Amino acid sequence: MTERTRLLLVDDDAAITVPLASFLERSGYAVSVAGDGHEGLEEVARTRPDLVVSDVLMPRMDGREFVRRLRESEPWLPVILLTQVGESWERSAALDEGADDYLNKPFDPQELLSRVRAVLRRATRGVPTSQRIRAGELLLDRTSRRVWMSDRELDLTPKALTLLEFLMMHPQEAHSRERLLAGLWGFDFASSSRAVDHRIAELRRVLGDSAGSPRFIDTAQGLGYRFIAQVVAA
Amino acid sequence: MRRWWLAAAPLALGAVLGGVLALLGERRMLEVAVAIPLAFLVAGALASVAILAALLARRSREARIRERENARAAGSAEATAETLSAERQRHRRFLARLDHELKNPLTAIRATAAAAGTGDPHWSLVDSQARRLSELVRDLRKLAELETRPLERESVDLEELLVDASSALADRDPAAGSRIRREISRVPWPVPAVSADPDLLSLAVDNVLGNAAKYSSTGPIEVRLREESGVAVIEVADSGRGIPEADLPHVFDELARAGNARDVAGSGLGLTLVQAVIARHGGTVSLRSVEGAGTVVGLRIPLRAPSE
Repeated sequence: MTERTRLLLVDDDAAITVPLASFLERSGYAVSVAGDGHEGLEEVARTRPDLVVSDVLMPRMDGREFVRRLRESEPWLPVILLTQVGESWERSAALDEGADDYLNKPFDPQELLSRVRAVLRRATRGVPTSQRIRAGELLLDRTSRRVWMSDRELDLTPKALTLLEFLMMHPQEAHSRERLLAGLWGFDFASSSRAVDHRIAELRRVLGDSAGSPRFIDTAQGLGYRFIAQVVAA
Repeated sequence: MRRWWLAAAPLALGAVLGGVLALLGERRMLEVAVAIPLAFLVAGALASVAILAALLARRSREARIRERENARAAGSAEATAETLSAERQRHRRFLARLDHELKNPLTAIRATAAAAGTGDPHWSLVDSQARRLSELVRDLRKLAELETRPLERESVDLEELLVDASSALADRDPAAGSRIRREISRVPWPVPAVSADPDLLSLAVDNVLGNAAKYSSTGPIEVRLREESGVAVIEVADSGRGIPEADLPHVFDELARAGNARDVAGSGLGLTLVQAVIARHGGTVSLRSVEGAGTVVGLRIPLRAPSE
């Protein structure tokens, strides 16, 4: 029998952690719970989880400080942040601080489950969470937010860069336009998904990629987009 | 305002009755058993009532402010604008707090429903209602966010944007798409590009176009673009059911829905959102409508970007 994957849930609200832990347990994971960042660090040392799901707003040590401290000792442990601050640009800030994914409260527990699975798949495939990542001659520095193609720096709008970063951090996964729009633009309103198409067109133009025979960004028919090149730490 | 004491009357009555019963030596106990799903449903209903009460309170507060402002109509226009913008900021802060306070309880309800599994129809009901409430909370927050998020301005060709918006609607709803007629003024010169956030602007146009398609099942949907003394004017007109006159003053209010629109799905946030987006670009939104005849929405965007 294989050992169950261990998750650590960090949130100060027991009304959330109790049912959520039971839901995740039922979905096949071994779950432990911590009430704030301090306890979270102790639990990480004690239970060696495979993935951490952490709230942002907590007493004593909040989620951001927790992720920063965690990264000092555990650079590879995947973290999903439950962001309280809803603004979409705050979410990319959460990613900058070293979280692997984020979810806005109130969330659908099924959605959390699929994010957990995706992040774990990524972790086992060895997709880097490092600050500089590379796909072929395409190099992205996540800290300085700059992109190069064979040593030539590319000029991208901030939105296109955020989109490229997201796609490179989640390679080989098909992302619907709606998900991209909600996650990166913060638009959950009924709206056209052309905003995504436009940025993809910009990316393809600047990267010299073609929709017909793509090297980087493939159109997943009837679904959305997928980053197809192999991504490695640079 | 003066009737607040009425709220205390039931409490006083209860206290008197309780006191009398206690003095008479009443010792019987009352125990109530409530099924957990029902408890969550009631909690959800209470949260809805709380939101409703808060929104009603705001509406009456706004009415008082309007009264006050009418009363001193002779006063300085600047001071009035300041009061309004301060009021608006308070309102946004209120929405942000409301959102914040509802997040954790809603997450807890949804987690509990998920833990209970999908087999139970009661839990499915609780979950679907919690989801509705979550969506409402999220949309209100997004609206507040729109007023502060940084604009990513670019040079935007409005004709292109309208063509895109039309074909996006045609993708979703081919019948509505085939009813669109575009009238783009190009003589003596085309409408110059505006400096705008293209994503937000197309969000606004999508909403207006979507409304035209939703509220008119036949007849053309006219999309017009022209320039008027330094302002780009986009108009979207339909020959649909229109809006009752009594509802017209409230069309831009959050959650406002026309009395004749109950059969069409919608959050009542679309036009509020459109107005917020256009205002961020220094423009204005107008709406003319006759019930039974149709509606025309005008978006006026200054060609020169105001300094933010």
